[in-house]
Amino acid sequence: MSLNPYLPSLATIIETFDETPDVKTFRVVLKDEAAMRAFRFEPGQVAQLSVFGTGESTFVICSPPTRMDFLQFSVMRVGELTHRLHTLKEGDPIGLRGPLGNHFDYESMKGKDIVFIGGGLGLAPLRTLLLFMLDNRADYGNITLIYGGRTPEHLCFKGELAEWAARGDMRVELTVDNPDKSWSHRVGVVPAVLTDLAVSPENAVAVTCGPPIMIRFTIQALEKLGFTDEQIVTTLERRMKCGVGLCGRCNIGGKFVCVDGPVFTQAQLKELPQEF
Amino acid sequence: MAADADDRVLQLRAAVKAELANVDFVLGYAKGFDPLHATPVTVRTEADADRLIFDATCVQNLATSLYGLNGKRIGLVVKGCDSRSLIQLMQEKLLERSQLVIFGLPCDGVLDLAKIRVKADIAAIHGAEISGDEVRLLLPEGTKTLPRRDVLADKCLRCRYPNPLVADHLIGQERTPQGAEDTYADLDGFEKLSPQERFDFWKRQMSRCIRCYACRNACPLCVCKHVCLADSRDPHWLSAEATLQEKWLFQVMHALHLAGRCTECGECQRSCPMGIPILLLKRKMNRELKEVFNYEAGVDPEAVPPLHTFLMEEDKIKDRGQLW
Amino acid sequence: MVARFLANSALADTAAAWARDFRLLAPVREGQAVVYRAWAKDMHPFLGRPPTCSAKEALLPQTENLLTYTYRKDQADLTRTEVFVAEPLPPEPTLLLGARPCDARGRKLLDRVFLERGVEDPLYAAKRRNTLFVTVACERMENTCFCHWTGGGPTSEEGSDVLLFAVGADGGGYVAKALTPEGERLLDKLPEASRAAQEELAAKLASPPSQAVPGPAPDLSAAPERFLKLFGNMDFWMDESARCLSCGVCTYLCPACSCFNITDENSGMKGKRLRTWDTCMSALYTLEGSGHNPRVSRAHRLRNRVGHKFCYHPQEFPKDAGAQPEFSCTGCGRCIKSCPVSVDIRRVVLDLMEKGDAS
Repeated sequence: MSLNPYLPSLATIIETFDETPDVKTFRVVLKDEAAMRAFRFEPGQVAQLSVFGTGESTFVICSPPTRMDFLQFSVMRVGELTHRLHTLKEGDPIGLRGPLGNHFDYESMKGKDIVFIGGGLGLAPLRTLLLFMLDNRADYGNITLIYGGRTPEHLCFKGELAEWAARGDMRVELTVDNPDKSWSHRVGVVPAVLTDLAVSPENAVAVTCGPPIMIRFTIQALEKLGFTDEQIVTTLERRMKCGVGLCGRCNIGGKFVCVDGPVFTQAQLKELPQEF
Repeated sequence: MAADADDRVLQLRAAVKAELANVDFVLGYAKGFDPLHATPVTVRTEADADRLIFDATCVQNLATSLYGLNGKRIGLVVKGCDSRSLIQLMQEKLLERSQLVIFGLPCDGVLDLAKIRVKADIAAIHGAEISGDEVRLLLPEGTKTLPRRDVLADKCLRCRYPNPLVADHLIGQERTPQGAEDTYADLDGFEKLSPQERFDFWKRQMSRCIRCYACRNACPLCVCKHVCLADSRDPHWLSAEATLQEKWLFQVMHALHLAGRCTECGECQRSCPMGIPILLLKRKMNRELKEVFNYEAGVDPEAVPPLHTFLMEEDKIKDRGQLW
Repeated sequence: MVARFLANSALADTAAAWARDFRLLAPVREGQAVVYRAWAKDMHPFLGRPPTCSAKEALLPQTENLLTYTYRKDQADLTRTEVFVAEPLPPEPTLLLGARPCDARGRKLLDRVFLERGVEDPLYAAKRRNTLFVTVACERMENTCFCHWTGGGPTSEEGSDVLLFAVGADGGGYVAKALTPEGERLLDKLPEASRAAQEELAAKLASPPSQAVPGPAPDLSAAPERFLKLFGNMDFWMDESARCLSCGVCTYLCPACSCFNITDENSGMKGKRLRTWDTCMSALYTLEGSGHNPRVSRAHRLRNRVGHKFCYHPQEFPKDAGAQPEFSCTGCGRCIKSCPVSVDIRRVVLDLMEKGDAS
């Protein structure tokens, strides 16, 4: 195995499907079967996907380490690399560097109630941790998922949302800004749902990810509900290149999102220069 | 001369102070880190205004700083040549006249530090006295006096617009233009070289380029800034590779995009840390434009730049319509 | 170690001899610039002025290959492709002649990032291990120099393999002092420096160059905390950055700036993944695919450059209490000297010290 941190492992796309009009999910395995069997990561960690000739971008591994048939990535089509990635199909070769970054501190969450609050594709990192917890269900208290999107069409992982709601051992609250005729769930923004549900901070951890504006108001709502900074966990995104803390651009003050993140507690974020 | 200069700075400061209430801020010049360097300064208060200077070290074209300041009302200190950039920007509808309060200063020419460096080691200079015909350099090894004409920027030696062509406050006596019609003697000399010699010249020059894009960012008319095609990945015109081809191609694109727009303020060349004579490329384009369209950029606010319009029949372009 | 003598008249021949064992990069005059060029016959090394670019070029080139890739169609099923990836070749042993002590200290700051931060960068490490610096001590401080503010000095030995001191004795040349065993091997063919040359050097070292323009070194030990105090004061950063053109001069010429970009350059069925100098002064540096940019203005970007050098770096690599912090700046002054609008980082830091105290 190479010690070159810039050298991706070769990987193959084994399955792709659309989540929303602009989000596609990719299931990927390393080409080297032994390397795939040896691949270890923690929930919340990210990887760099390469389309050779176009470049690399960072995505969270949104399948849990408890389900290692493949590594799953859900990708929104926004820039050069993601446009190119969306054209790839089953069987196409890509590169994968990872796992990179820190992870959710699921050990310290044991025995606690977990509130997942997601918006849009922000559900991706939450999905990893949620599935990991569902696979270790006895370790955790009540699990609640509050998830919202612009429209029903913009919700990711639609099939699983219904599955999770039907499980009986977790609560799922869905909301959209703009419902269509068939929508039978809530209408409104995610932070409002959070306030409406009056989620208790008692022995709880809130894990949130979504568009910056949603995170901002979600954190305000959580604070109003009595969540402390240590009880609020979020993930950050930044333009990244190297993924190993060298190229410079993803810094927030002296921390690098690619190695010191992407997972931060609100308490940790408050220690940083306010540049996000 | 010196008295007029001092007087002019006092007038400038007074005029700026009087306008402070009407603008968000004023951009002018202050003393830089040594006697031969001025630096642009943002003036918000009367105390800031007292830092303003105006002399032959005020080389920068502050029209460049207007980028990204839409929606603000800005005071701007300009020389004659700088005012041409404003006119060109206005012609291109990139600048509203009403957005600006222009402090125009007739100019006696600015120093070309590159020329001075050839004649004196100024890296540790501790004083400079610039008079009408001399530049006295106070150096660690003693005083060195240079004829002013020898160290003025080339553009100043041929300057026909020492007086700002547009201004709200004209400060100081108008100057008599020194320069005659541009003969492009430098370009003629260069074009006498054989193609191989010219190629070798540019190869050597361009190979020094570090792709910092100071030339682009210092150009008042390079208005694409960070959406420049040099940085575009889609389409992917330029590779990130540090090859001659990439470096040169960028300069060619820069020159072509400035054809008929460049006022030859020379900021691209002055800003180049590697001393690459890129203004020559722009002068080449300008001479062609002058020949074909008899056009000079940034002189007449009402004029339409020739490449912003077309005529069905151009006098100096052969009609090749029959070929269709 | 024995002090050797490198006569001016022997400089070209000595360089040519080194060039047989190394990829030799030597400074030459080209118009206004002094640039490092790979050794070629009849080259005249110019050691009289600090080179325009810093010496980081030798360790972190403007661009370098991270990998090459090739796509191949599966001949049995043309809808399928395979990709093959290859690592770059190891670098040649390199000798850089004519750096200044500020550049040599820059090596240490680059080491911090590429060797000590966490992941060792293999490309940098390979070059670092087989690159030697033959440095020229400075005889004077230029108006833009401030190495003494950041823990260096015109004759600092840190980071060099050989340090050359200019002398007039014996027809003019350099007293060469080896600082590493590799440096000593470079000098083993040179004659011992004469007593006159050594005495001249001793006299010079006894009266260090004046620091007239930058002035005596201010106490910058509180710079990191002053920076953090002023972090949210956007008016301060707006005013400090109002002149900035957002070009890459300051960062590309800096011996300590190490940020880079990674891009793929495709050519048909194959191509390269390149590492290229990048600049935090560009809006593109942090622009995200979505269009969001955490550092939208020049004020945000200048704040990051100054913050990285004078706050984040010293916090990441702390010194003992009471000691001067290590800044990610060697005080070479290139960012001041070559800035088209004369932004002076010394001024920004002094303003920080002053206004960060008051606020």
